[in-house]
Amino acid sequence: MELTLNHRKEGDRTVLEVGGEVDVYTAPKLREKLVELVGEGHYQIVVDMTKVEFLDSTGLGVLVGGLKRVRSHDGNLALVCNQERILKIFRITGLTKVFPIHETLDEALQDA
Amino acid sequence: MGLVELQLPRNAAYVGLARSIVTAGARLDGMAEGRLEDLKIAVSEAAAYAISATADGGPLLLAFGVHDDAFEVHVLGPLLSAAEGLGEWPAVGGMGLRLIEGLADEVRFPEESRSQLVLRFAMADLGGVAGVSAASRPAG
Repeated sequence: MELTLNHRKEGDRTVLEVGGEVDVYTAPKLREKLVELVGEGHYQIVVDMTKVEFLDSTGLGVLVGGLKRVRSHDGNLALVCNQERILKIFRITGLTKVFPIHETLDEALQDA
Repeated sequence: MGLVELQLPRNAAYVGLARSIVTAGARLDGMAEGRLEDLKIAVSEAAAYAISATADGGPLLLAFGVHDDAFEVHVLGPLLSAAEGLGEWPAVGGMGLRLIEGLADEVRFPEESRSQLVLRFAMADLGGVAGVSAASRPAG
C-alpha cells in the first residue's frame, strides 16, 4: 500500500494525516513532508496515524527527526494512534516516553 | 520440510514484497494471527538491515519456513563483512535491532557463519516476552 500524506490547519495546530505503509522505502516521503511543514513555519504538528497500516524503525526515526525539528523552534509534535499493533512498536522502542500519544485527534487538539 | 528461498533485488522498494511473501508463508504454515504482525515487522527490519549491510551489492536473499516447531527466517549475507557487528546496525538509534529483539522469540547469528541472521518465531501466540541471548550475538 502506498503512503498517503495530507495536511490541514486546525486552529493553531497543523494536522498531518498519514496513511498506508511507512517503511524504509516510503519513510523518506514522510521526512520530506515534515521538513517542508517545519520550513513553512508549522511548529505545532499533530501526526494522525490512525490510517497507518505498517510502521517500521525508519518511520520511527523520521518521527523522532520531526520532533527534534519542531522542538528547535519551541514547537511540539504529538501523535494520534489507537492501533495496538502500532502502539506496540512505540512501547518496544521506548518512544512512548518521547512522544505525546493520543487515542483520538480531538484529544490531541485539546491537549495544551 | 525445507525452507522456501526468496531472492529479490537489493532495493528498499522490495522490502514490502519480502515481508508480504514471508508473512503469507507463515500464514500458510499455520502461524497464529497474533504473531503474524510481529513477524511482518521483524522481517521488514531484517530485510532493511540486509540491504544496508550486504557488502557485495548482491541480491536480497531470504529463506523461511517451519523448522523445529518454530517459524524461521534466515537473512543471508555476507551481512557483516563490512560492519563486523551489531554496533553498525543501520537503523536510527538501533531501533531496528530493538524491534527485532522485541518481536522475535530468538535472534541469532550462527557461530559457524557471520553470513546469516536467523529469526525464530513460535507458531502460537504465547503472549510472552521475546528477546535475544547475548551469547548468540557475534563478538562486536
